[in-house]
Amino acid sequence: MIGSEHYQIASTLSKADLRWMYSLPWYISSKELDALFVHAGFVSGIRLGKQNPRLMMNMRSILPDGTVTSKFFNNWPWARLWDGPQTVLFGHDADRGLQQYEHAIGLDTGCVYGGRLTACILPEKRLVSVNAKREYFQYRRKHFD
Amino acid sequence: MAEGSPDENQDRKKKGLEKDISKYLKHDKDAKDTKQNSDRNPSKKGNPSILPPPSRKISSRFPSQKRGNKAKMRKATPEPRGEGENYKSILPPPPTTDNEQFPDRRKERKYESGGRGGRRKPSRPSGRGNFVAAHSGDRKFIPKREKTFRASPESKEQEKEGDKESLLPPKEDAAGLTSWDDFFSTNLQSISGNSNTKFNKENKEDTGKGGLSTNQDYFEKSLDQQVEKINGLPSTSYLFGNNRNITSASKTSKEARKSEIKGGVSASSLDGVLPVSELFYRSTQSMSAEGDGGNDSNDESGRISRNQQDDYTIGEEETDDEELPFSAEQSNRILSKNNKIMMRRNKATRPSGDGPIKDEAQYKTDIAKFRSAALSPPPRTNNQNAGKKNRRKRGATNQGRSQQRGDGQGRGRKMVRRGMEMLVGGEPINADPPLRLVELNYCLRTPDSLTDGLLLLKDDDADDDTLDLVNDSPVDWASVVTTNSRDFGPLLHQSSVEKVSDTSRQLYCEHFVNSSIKWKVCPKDLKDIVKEFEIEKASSKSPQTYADLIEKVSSVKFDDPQSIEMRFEERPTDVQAETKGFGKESRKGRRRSSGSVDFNAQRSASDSDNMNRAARRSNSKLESFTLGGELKFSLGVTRAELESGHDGGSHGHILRRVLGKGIANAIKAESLGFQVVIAKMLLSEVDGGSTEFHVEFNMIPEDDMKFGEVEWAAKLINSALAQAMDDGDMALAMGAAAKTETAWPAKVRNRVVEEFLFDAEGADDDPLSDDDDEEDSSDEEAIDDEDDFEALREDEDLPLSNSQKQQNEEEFEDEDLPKKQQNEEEFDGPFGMPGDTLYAKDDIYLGGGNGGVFPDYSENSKWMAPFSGELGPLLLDAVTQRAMEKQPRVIAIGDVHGCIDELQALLRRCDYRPGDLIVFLGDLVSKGPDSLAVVQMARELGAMGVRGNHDFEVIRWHQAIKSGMKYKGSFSHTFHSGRRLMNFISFSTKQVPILL
Repeated sequence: MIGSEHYQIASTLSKADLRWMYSLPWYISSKELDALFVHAGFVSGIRLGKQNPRLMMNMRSILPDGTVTSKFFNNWPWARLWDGPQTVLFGHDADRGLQQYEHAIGLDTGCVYGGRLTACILPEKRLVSVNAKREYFQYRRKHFD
Repeated sequence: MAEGSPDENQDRKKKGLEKDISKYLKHDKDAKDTKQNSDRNPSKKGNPSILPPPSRKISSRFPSQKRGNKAKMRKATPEPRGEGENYKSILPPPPTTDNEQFPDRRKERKYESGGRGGRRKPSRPSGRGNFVAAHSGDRKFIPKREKTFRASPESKEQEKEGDKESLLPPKEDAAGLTSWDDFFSTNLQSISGNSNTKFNKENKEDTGKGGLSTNQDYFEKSLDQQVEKINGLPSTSYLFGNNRNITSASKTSKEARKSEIKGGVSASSLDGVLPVSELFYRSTQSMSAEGDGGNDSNDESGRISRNQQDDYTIGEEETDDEELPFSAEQSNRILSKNNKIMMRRNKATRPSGDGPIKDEAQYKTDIAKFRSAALSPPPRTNNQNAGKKNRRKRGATNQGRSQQRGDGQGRGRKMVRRGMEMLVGGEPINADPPLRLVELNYCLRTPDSLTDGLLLLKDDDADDDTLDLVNDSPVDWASVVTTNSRDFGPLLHQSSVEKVSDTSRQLYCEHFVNSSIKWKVCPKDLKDIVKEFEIEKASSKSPQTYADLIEKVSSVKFDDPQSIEMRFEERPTDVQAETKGFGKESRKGRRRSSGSVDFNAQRSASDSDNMNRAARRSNSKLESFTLGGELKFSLGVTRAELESGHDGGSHGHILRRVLGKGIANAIKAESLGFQVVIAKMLLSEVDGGSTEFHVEFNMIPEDDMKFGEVEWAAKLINSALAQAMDDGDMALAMGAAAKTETAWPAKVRNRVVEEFLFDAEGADDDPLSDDDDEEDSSDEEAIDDEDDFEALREDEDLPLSNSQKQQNEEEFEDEDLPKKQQNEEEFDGPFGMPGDTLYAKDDIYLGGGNGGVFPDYSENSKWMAPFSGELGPLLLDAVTQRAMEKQPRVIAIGDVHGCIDELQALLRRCDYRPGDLIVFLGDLVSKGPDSLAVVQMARELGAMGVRGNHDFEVIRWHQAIKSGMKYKGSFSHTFHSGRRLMNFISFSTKQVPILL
């Protein structure tokens, strides 16, 4: 279902919009802000240039044995392993909602699932959020431990 | 010469590969068994003389390749005899039927092992020997095998050639050939291109290890020569790129190599060295193994064919992987568990259009054409429309899916998904962003940043430290947040910001305010400014600035100055746009020109602009308007003929009628509720018996319409007109109208019809040559038709505020622009392909760049700005002021998923304003209520973001859709097209049985 939605979007978006999306990088880094912006996350211990884009877009957990997975393992968020130095701002993980670690802030608060839409204003790291009007998409929770 | 043979080879390879792959996947156990078997077999045969001594040495060089060979060996073993025979058959020209499998295996093996054996293939004598040698090499690792190897039937020939030098060209070498070149010149002719590329990998690997490189010289030289000899094969340089250097180095070591060979490198010394290629190929194997069950047959064949068919493909893939951020190699190392899936750069993306790539592209074209011809795919517009509908009601996803399938079929390229990878027609889709990383510069308000001299800090309010500097330089809100990417506009590009003039910034502010108002996220102070402006405009009674424009309007247009028109013009600009003095909209008019007939229609934005203002200014009195348009074309009929009929007394009435009918039909004016009336018609004879038409027509609403409606209609008409001109519908409609015109004598009628239709069909490239003459031609005759002209009186005042009008106008323009303006530049393939130009010449820091991602801020396009640059200064001041009070920020926003309402609310709450940068943390689309709006808003506000998995998916779909069908090229046989076409034929029959 989602797959076909992607197709629909791809075929209905205007060219400029598509181009805009196409221009989006895997991640953004800011030296001055000491921040990284990425969708899913980073694997700690690997330098940024070597991070795998697929993981950057899909990862959610890093298991104790070092396995990086896109599944939600409650006790093993990747962000807990991330030790900086930069602060990572990421989304993707609506399961855990707002995550705040020392060097990582997870901003996906599941707006489309009826949660909140959250923004982080950067130099001061201030969080702003609004409630979703309603639940737009049924959320199926798949939990692992 | 070469073409025939490679095809056959490839076919064989494919078949072989398919079989082999299954073997591949088997466990090492099997491999061991096979080893044993193989050992036995040779011993049974008991040809001691067959033993190829050199093989050992070779094997020792490539210890890592054992694995692949093991699996294969198993199959080979049962028919040792056959294999030897097959070798002979391997030679390119004569393809053997059954034996093919064996050669394939060999090739594959070579491929995996690095393909050293492969090169030798081409030359018969040497090929056999070498091949065997490679074989043996693999086995050699296991001491037992050596014997078996010797026993293999193939070794017979090797014997002749001499044991130790099996790698070297057999006889000649013994004879004392001085150089490899000599050898190759004799033997290489038969080499097929495929085998060569495989070597690349090995070469790379080898470079690191001195001992391993012995064969390189041989290979590379052979490659060069092969390339020369075989047409259509990739050039060595292309294939090898970086490796080239290595080659030269290795050449010097020839002698050393030989000595090595003779001395024999001990296998043990090489133990533990695992070439990168080994990793790489394992990963691919696992991929193919994991392929979707449903599509297996096709997938496999596709994949295999890719690997084996195209030598260059293989080489390319390797190089690409090195460049790629996340090569298979890399991922394998890092996370073998999770990263079995590899993404490759789309081959066609490669900028240099070398031979092989062209072939590939052509092949794609061919396939696309072929299939489209065969399947007659449904018109794409249908799909898109359907897509829109589907989007509206989200429940209809099933329909969407089926549609998408159908779509894929129509294009004739099979789309296969394999985890992260998406293949279309066997080609991986590249959806990698142009920049892997975007660096965001944020100018902190610290003295440090100032002393660094990177960016001057200009947005202090009361900061003592930086006060001096602030005084020195004007506040620059825009340069606080910048990036290293040019893709998001000049104001976000660090090195461009400073070059952006104030005017451009003003325009930026206008655009920003406009779109932020549109999206309801405009900061209040800016909104107030706009409001004031609008009010002032609406009430201003002394618009001196527009005086001249109005003059122009009235003088140009209408004979009846009393009636005030609001005109949306279809006006031929082209070269003649100068009539309005707005040279800058240099859009090319669309040309329908074939010899004698030219159609030109272009909406002149400047004109309508002027008109709009005129209308705006005189709002109070303005009660009526018509829509006007212009049409220019020439017809190969003399004026006398056109005016004939009614005994020559028609004075063009007939013609006028015909034209009116034609225009009305072409744009379906009646369905829109308009009546088309020819207001003015200029005929001028051009030498050669043809006539230039300059027709002005008016569209008169049949019923009273509100202003808004008329505007809306004008948009429709404009696009319809453009469309009609584009498709030739206009000419057809004219022809039809002329045909039914009874007042003309038959002769004239036929002539006219013919001319019109001739235009429609033959509309080609002839540029308008006559345009310049047109203006000058002295014998113009104006035929004014006052009778038909009626101005519509409308009761109600025009309630629209100026800004709204302008807004409308802008949209109105926007609709037309993509059609008309971007004709030349538009590249409709997937992004990142050659031809996909990111920036026009002077777009580097200004304007309309990156495929419309950001608007044109250049001063020249002021007229296109939402407020025509009038409001800019005020806005800029406000923005600057605000930036001084409050430093611009970066706003990171989590997954939006199409929740446009929430996003707007959030932005309002954040007090988003120009200078702030929104960074989306991916996943803007999908799942939510209105993905399209979110993306559009994000773009128009000049936001940035990172890619989420859903975004990536969408992009990849786009790339897939685009690369599926639109390839422009000509059908031609490349050396692999035959086989592939066959593939597609069978494939098509499968999916569309109706055809057969």
